[in-house]
Amino acid sequence: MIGLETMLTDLSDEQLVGMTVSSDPEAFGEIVRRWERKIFALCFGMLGREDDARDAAQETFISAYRNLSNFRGDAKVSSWLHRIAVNQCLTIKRRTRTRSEDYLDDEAGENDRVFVAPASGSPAARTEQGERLVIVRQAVNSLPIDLRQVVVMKEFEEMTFQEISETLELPLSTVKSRLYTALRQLRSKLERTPLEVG
Amino acid sequence: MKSEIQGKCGRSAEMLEYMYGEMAERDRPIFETHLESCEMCVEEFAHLSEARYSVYEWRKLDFAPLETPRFVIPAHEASPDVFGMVVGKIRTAFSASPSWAIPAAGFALVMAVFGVGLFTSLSRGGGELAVKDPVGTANRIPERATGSASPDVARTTGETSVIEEKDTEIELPDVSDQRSRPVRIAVTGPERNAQRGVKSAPHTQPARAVKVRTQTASVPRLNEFSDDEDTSIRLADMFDDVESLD
Repeated sequence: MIGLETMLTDLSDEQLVGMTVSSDPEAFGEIVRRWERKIFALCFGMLGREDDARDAAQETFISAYRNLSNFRGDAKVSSWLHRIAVNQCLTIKRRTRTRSEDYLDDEAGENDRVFVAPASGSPAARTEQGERLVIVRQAVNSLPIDLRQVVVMKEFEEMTFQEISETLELPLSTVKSRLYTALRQLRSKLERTPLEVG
Repeated sequence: MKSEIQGKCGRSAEMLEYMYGEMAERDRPIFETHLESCEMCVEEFAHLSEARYSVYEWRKLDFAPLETPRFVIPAHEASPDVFGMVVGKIRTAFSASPSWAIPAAGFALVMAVFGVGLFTSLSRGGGELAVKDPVGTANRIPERATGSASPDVARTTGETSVIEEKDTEIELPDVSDQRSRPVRIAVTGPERNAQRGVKSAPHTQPARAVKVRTQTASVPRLNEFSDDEDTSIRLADMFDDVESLD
C-alpha cells in the first residue's frame, strides 16, 4: 500500500486521471489530496463562508469525479478543477441569493459569524477587526467574477502568476492586468470606508 | 488593457511582481532604484499594498486557521459515469485516428443508404401482397366463419371479390349478434301446406302453429332469395287466408 501511494504521488495529475478512468478509481484520491486545500481556499475566497466553501469544494470533487470522461486531455487538471469550483461557487451564491441569505451582502448574517481573531487582542480591537473583515469581504465580493477569481487565487491559494495563467488559460499579461485592476478597485472601495487599517 | 497595466509610470506589472516576490533576482535592484526616484510609483505601490494587505489579513484571520475538511465521495458516486467514459473513449478514438474514422463513416453511410433502399423495396412489395395475397383473404374468412356456420355464406365468400368481402365483413357483428337471439320466425302457412299437399282447414285450425326456431346462420343476401325455397309467411298470404276465412 505504501508503495502504491508513493507511486501515485510521483504521477502527474493527468496521469492520475487516466489511471482513475482506466483501472484504479483510488487514484482520484491523490488528486483530491493534492488540490483540496487550494480548492477549499478558492471557494472560501469566493463565498466568504466556511460551510458554503466546504459544500462547494465537496461538490467540486464529486462533479469532477462524475465527469472524468469529459476531461479534455489538452487542458490541465488544475484548470479543469478550478473551472468546476468557480461554477460551483456561482451556483451556491445564486442559491443563497435566491433564499435572500447572501451572507456576504447581509450585515445581519455577518453578525452570526464566528471570527477567528488574535487571542491577545482587546475586545474593542477584535470588534474593529471583525468589522474590518466584513468590509473587506464585501469589497472582494463586489468585484467582477473574473477579477475576484484572480485575487482569490493569488491571495488564498498563493499561486504564482504563471500558475494562474496556466490554470485560467490566460496570457500572463492578462492575469497581471486583472490583479492590478482588482487591487485598485479594492483600494478604492476600502478608501471609502470609515475604519482605519488595524 | 495594456495602458491599464502600465499605470502612471508604466511599471505596474513589475510592481506586482516585486510586491508578490516573483521578480527575478537580477531585476530587483533595478526596480528598487527606480522606486527610490519615482514618487508616482511609490504612491501606486502603497495603494496596491494596502489593498493587498486587506485581503491578506482576511485570509490570515479568517481562513488560515481553518482545517481542510475531508472530502469524501459518497458510495453512490463510487463509480464514474461508465456510459460517458465509453462515449468519451469512442470520441477519443475517432478524434485520435481520423485516417480510419473517415472510411468507417463512409461505410456507415453506405450501409444506411442500402438499408433505406432495402426497406423501401420491401415495403413496396409488401403493399402489393397485402392486396393480392389470398392469405389475406383466408385470414378474413375464419373471422366470418366464426360468425356464421352457414355454408351459403362461406360459398359467398369464395365467390366475391375482396372489396365485396369488406362489405360483408361489416355485417359480421350483426350476424354474431343474431346468434344469441331468434332472427327469424317461421310460420307454417297455407301455401306451404299446399305445396306439401296438405289441405288446411282454417276454421278448424284453432291457432296457427307457430314454430320459433333460432337460426344461427347468417341472413342470406337479397339477390340470393329464392321464392320457391322460401318458407316464411308473407303478408299477401295472410290476406289470402283472411279472405278465404270470410
